[in-house]
Amino acid sequence: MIPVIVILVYLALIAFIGSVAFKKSQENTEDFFLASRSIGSLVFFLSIFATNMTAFAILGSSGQAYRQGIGIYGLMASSSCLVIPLTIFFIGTRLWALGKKFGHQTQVSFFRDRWECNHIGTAIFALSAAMLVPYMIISIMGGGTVLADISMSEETHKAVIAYPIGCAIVALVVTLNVFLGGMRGTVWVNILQTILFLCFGAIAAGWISHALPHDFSYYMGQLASNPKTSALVTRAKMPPQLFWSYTLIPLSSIMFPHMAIMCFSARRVTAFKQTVVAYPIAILAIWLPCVFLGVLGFATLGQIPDPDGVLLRMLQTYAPAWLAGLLGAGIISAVMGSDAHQVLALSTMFTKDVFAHYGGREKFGERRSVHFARGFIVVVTIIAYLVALGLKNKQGIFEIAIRYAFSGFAAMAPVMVAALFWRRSTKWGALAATVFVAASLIGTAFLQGKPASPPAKPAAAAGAPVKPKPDIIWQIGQGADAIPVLSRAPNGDVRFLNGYMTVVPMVAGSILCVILFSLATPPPSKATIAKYFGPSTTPNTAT
Amino acid sequence: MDPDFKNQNPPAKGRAGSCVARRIVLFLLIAAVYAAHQDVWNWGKADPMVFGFLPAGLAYHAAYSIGCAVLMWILVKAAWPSELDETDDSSK
Repeated sequence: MIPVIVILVYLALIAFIGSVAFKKSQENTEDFFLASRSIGSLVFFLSIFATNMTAFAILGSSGQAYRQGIGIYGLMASSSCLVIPLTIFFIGTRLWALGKKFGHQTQVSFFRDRWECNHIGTAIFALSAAMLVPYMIISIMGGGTVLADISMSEETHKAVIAYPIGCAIVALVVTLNVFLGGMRGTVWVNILQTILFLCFGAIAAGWISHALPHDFSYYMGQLASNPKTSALVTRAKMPPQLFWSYTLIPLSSIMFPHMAIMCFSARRVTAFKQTVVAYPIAILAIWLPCVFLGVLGFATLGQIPDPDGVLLRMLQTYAPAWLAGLLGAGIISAVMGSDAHQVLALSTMFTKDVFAHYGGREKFGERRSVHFARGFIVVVTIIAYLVALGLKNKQGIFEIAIRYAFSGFAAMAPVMVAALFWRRSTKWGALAATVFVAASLIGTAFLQGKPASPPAKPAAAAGAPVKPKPDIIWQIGQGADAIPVLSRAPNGDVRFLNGYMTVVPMVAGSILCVILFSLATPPPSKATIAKYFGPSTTPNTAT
Repeated sequence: MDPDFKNQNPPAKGRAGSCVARRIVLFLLIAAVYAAHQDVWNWGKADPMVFGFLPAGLAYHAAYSIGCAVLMWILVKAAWPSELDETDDSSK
């Protein structure tokens, strides 16, 4: 019961912060969506980090480490340590400057102005929104699941906070926070949230090491010396093609609307300096203990039915109830920090890119636009909640959709790079890339298979030398010389060539589309190019 | 190409040359850090366990994360788009 009380107090605190932010707010969209572009350096860092970190960083990372071993850190975390700060450095800062100069509040409004387009911007909006919605739904599902797990009664084996109530609590608190406080309320809450989950890993690892009968080296030595479990402390079972492919996934980060919108909200460009340097350290602080504890969980707990719950189970086993509650609040923080930004981003995009763009603002005025945005937040959260309830047992579908979303946003990164750095790029290049990415995602969904077997049992995942054959979808040639162009991995995911993720051809195809279609179509007007790139020093501005 | 870079007056020949050289060095540095992510030499081994409990592959990537922070610090110092600071000043 203590963990539940700690978490409920924490949730009440978040709702309270939202109400304080409401009192500070002004009734205009720039204040509601971007906190009047006034976010200071430290808050900017804490907030942009919270925006990007989901519950997966804590629960998923440890669960995956339990199944696949330490390689998960290199696969997902250390590649992000390089790519995400680079994208913030090269793209985020430019977005910030253009937002400041020309008043852009979303990526789409920038694209529309940069490429003198209207409906193509709407197409990019539609694709972005479609890829963001499943992410939002699964955040609510994740929150409900975590609250149910944490509040599980040892006597009755029933959750004190049942899944539907947990989802409702998360949805309600997020809605209150965003509805009342907009961007300001969201980033204020992020301060608390990020500090909580940054401390989470170190506290959990420290406490658990204290409570275990042996020290860490004993358990790691045991895993390494047993042939059945030694793969957990190496990457022996991780295909190098997958490892390399994954380095493209963090390109998606800056293309997620909630990340790009955060970049518009900084008060000064210097906020980016501290952020890009501190970002890899923050990833390290969260992921390293979680991945390590996931592997340690296999050594200490043995086989458990739900690997994603390994960290919660370790906390329940080795930490006192009050600490488990506090750390549970850290996990909920990760869920709600990103969920609040997703809800706000969807509302911002819909209000600015659709409602205002198609005449709503002129017709109803600035004040009404904020009311519209608030109404949208309520409606979209209710829908997400109902979907989370109705499709509780179909969580796998949303997880697959999110994997697609990461690939999709990563493949849209060339569009942003072209808009910012290539004056000859055109709206037709952007449209071609957008259509290509959408078609690739639909094609991948069509080819997606079901896992060859139920989620790998820990023993099999840990050490059994079983290497299932990929399911070939399309190959060139026959027999030993055949090249498998498309195949399905054992988990059903589509793979390209000899095991590369589909994000590889998607990014390559997107780059080609932008280049070829831009070169084949007339460039934007000289006035627009001069607006974004300055007057050219050569007679031909379009090269 | 940095969009605002073109707004500036053409730099003197010597300065332009050193600017290009600096960009090439920084580009190579980023490429080297990216390549260092594929640590094939650690693939199948757990030893040596750093601090007695961190498998070699995990310790390498933890150090790699710190290396990324150092890289970003170098980029901030050596490649910060100073034109953006002007946008900053004009908006104060």
